[in-house]
Amino acid sequence: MENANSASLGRDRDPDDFNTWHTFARALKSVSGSLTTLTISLDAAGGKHDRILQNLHYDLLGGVSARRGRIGSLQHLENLTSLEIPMLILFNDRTKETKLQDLLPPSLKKLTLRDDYINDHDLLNCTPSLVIPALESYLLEQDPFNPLSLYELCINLRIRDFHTSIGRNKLGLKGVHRFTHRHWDLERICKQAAVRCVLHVRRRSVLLPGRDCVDIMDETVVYDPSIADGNGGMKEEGRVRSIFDKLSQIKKRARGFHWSWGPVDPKYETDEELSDD
Amino acid sequence: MAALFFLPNEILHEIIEELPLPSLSSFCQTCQATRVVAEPLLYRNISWEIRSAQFQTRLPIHAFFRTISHRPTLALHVKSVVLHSGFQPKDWMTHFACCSVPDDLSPLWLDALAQLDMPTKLQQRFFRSKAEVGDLGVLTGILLASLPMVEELVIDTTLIEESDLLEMVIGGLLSLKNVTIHNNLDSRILGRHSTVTRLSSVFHLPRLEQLCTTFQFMKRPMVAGPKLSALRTLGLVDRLSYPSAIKTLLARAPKLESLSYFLVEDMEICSVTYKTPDTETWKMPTRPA
Repeated sequence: MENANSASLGRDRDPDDFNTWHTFARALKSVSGSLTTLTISLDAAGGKHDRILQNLHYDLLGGVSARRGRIGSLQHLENLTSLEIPMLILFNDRTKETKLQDLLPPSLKKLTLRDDYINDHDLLNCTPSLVIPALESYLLEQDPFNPLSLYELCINLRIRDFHTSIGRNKLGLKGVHRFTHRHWDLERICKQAAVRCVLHVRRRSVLLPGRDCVDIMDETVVYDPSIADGNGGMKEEGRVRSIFDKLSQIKKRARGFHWSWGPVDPKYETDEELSDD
Repeated sequence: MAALFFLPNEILHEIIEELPLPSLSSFCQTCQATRVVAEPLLYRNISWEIRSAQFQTRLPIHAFFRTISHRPTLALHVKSVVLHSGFQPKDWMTHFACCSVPDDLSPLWLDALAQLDMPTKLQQRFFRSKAEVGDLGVLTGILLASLPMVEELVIDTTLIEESDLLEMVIGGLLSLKNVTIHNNLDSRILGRHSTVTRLSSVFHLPRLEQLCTTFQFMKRPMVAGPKLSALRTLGLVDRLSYPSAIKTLLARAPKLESLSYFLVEDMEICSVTYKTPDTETWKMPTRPA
């Protein structure tokens, strides 16, 4: 397949320029002995015309994710302790058959999953709800002779549609007791595995002078072994923390400058208004 | 004041390092002894906006260049340079970035430019004509070339775009250890403008320890080279580069500890190139039977 493709392309093309996430994982082999922190993120640049995403031919659009594929096994990164990766790259559209224990290195201590996506098709195929069973298998079906080193699991959600899929109540943080079963699933799994679990949900993004974009995130500590109550559950007051102190810092920085609320891309818009309470 | 100099040099440095810049400047001007101690610290870190509304008539780049032209030893103290372009994305593409050069400074800029090694005389003439009209990209390049000991450089992508001279000069700053090419075009995503940054010279700096840069349209030969044995931290904002280029770059960094990789899926380019030979880049390869 690669030979056929490279023959049909220009001379400067390399067979590694296809199936790109897998190629990326293979490229990491050269730094497998030293790499301790890996952060991967992606986004689609719609350009000046955001409608272009809708106008593109579906095969081409779907083909972008398919061409990128999945990253595959990262177990060769023997010293990796912190990994931040979009769920789409880890699972693509195969959330059911993917076993994280076959992909992630045993040295991993902190895993952060993101909800970056390229198009709506990806959004439906790889939601956090679909990923939770894979997390359950990863955390609870451990090999007793090769236990996990993981002590923290973070889920960072930026897209509005995902918030409810993992159980975030639209009433906001005050409605935390109304979290749906998915949230409780996550807590149950992490409690059993004694892994700290933190959920970050984006409320808004602020575009600062100098074009730096800062996400205002609500932080929900789903489970924390260090502040668990006597029954192994979480104390209610320790469950939710909102990062409003960060917001106040941003406001201080922005004072005196021209600044605007962002982002421009409608896919990031949320219904919620930011409050200082 | 005499009592101050009874202190060991290390403690004296600790104290004056805490001084704010205006106080450090005043301290430096107190006497010759304080000047010797404080001057290196005064010039150690440089940070300004190249094109600031605050300095429409007296740009700091001119004032600083005048100083180091008269006293070249001061340039040796500069270890860190942070340059923001001052351009907003909306006016960057339409505005021709020039400033008026003071009459007394024009020969100094041109002399400094003449001392730079250029591949061709045509390029020399081109950059000279740009410097004469006060092209900020060229002037910034000349300025950087006169700071041979700089170890840290933070610079905006839009400033790099201003002139090819900057890429040539950055490639010659062999003492650079920490380089950040700041993506100031957009908060997270390049590609709102049709930029073609191919800044490959930073990948050939031998003492590089930390590099965060945009990585646009890069191909394998552009990043090929000897090992970057000191590189520990790498951040890439990848837009339409070939995966083989990433592979080649990582193979050169055997001691890399931290990698941050942000991929921009550029749908606009994707649609534009739909019917060109580049289309293959975006097509799903046919699955083997």
